[in-house]
Amino acid sequence: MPSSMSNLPELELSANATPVVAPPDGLIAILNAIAGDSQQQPSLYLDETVVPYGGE
Amino acid sequence: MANNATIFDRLVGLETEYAIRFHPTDPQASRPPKYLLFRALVLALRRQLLTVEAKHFKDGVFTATGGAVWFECERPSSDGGLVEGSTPECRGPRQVLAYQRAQDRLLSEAAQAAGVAGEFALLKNDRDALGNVYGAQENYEATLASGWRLAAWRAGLIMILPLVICTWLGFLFLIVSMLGYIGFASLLYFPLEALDRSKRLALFLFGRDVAEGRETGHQCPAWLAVILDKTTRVLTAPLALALLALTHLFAFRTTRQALTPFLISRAVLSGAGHVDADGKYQLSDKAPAMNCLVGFGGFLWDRPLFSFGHFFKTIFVEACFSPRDYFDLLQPRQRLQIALGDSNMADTAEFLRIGTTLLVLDCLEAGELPNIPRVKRPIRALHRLCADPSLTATLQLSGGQSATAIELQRFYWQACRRFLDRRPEAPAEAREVLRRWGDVLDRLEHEPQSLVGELDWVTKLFLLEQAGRDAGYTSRKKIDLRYHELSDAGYFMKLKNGEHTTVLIDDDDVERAMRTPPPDSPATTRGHYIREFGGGDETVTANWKYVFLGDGPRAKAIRVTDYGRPGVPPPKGKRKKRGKDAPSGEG
Repeated sequence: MPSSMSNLPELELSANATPVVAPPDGLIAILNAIAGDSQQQPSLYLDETVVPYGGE
Repeated sequence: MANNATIFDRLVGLETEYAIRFHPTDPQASRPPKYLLFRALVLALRRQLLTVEAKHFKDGVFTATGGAVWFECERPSSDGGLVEGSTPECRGPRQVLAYQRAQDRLLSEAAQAAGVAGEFALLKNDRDALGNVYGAQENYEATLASGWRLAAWRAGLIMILPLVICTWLGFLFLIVSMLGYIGFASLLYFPLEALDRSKRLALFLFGRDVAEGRETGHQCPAWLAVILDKTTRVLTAPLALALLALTHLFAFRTTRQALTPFLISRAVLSGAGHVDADGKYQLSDKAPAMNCLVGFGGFLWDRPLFSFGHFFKTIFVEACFSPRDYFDLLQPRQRLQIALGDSNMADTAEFLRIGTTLLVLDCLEAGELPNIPRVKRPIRALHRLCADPSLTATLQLSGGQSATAIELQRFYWQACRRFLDRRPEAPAEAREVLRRWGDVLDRLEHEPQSLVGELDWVTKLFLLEQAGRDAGYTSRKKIDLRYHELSDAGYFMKLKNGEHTTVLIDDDDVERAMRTPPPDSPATTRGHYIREFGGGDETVTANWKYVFLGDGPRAKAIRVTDYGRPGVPPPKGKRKKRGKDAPSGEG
């Protein structure tokens, strides 16, 4: 496990879990960036990544 | 008493299908066909690495590392298609991981350098937002059968030979019919060529390649592609069903029975996580789509745990041109293809996916995997386990017992520990797999949060809870999908670049794997010839078994599966059989 992950929040394995301990600062910045990006035209992203008929 | 079984000595390879994402710079511009993006990617790849065209029924290239890159498309006119990467034939999980990471990096860099007017990125996942399934397959060299089962397998292959020949003749008739159609369509088209609507007519009669005068991957009209697809399925159905019965009865039967409970529960280690259509979280991307234990990987609308599509392709396509390939299927060592497994972003997950499977196979073939529990209704059990991220769901076993996924994994872990305890000479890598495997199982039970950055399903769930907690379905689904994007904008890559993930392979090893083939493998010979002759004037092509120097009937064919291992005497009854159908990441 990377040292930066040693203080991660308690992860409850359910869809609505709430973290107990705050993640480290560097990770918070990444999580904020992901939270922001995931709100940007999500339907377009889903559409752009469709693979008609799938594969093997 | 321990026998002299070898450990991590078998060939293994991965096949990975990457979804294509393209976002045009000009929002008004139409998206180019996926095939054109693939060709642009291959051109960019050639600037980094020597490649030669594949002599294969799929469009693709082989690289100087011994691996391959393909355009995978079930129906070209659908405008669909994936980039498929096949690692070279490797040995041991660290080597596989190095070549898989090298492949991920080479393809991702090639996509970014492809020079197309927009963002071009690849997603290493297994399912799109509409539920179409693709992704990863693993190939392991393994014993197909022994004793009476091997004899029955061989007899069965000989008995279906007349059916094989009838199928070839039927396919020949289909080709002749196609040529007749082209002649008829040309006679119809040319007198009308001067009309205003001639381009639409050409599109209808001949498809996009002819109508636009360029390669788009649409070599025939969409309606004809559908007819050809259906006709081929009907034509080959008797052979496919006969071969399916044969494989079901005799091919890898003992191995399949022993591996099934292991593979069903393996998602706790290597599942990629997935937000399903109801917004619920599943451990695995691909597993919920599985619908049978044995099949051909989609040909019969099947999604099997064990795929025998490569046997079918060998018989239906390759043996038609090279009869030796048919008789190679009589050998006891063959390629076992596991289709139940997700594409992994996290090193630990990918290392354990391959390493634990290799260890279980070694233990099994040494005859030291005792009293394997049978899971009742295995496909239903698989779906049940994957729908339970709390890992508390239990499965019904034969004999009235039940077990959780972690308990099943512990059964195999303990068997492998005993197997290694009896072998002090076992490679350190095998002990590393055992140590990491046991450690991950312990942490899944007691502190799963510590596995963020190590297991994909735990990491993705963490991102969904932290970054997508109050978001709607589409945003959460975007997190699910963009987790797998290989560019720096991908969410796992953001964590990796921020050093929030565990890295098991040094950059130096990945860079080496981006340039040179692994030693002691058919890929060594293949890569050697590609490096030596691929950049010259002579035409060089390759497939998984041969490299061809020159064109036409005078081309020299070098069989790469006849490679030798200097200084290593072949173990009795095993080594000399290697290489008949070596397990690259071949599809």
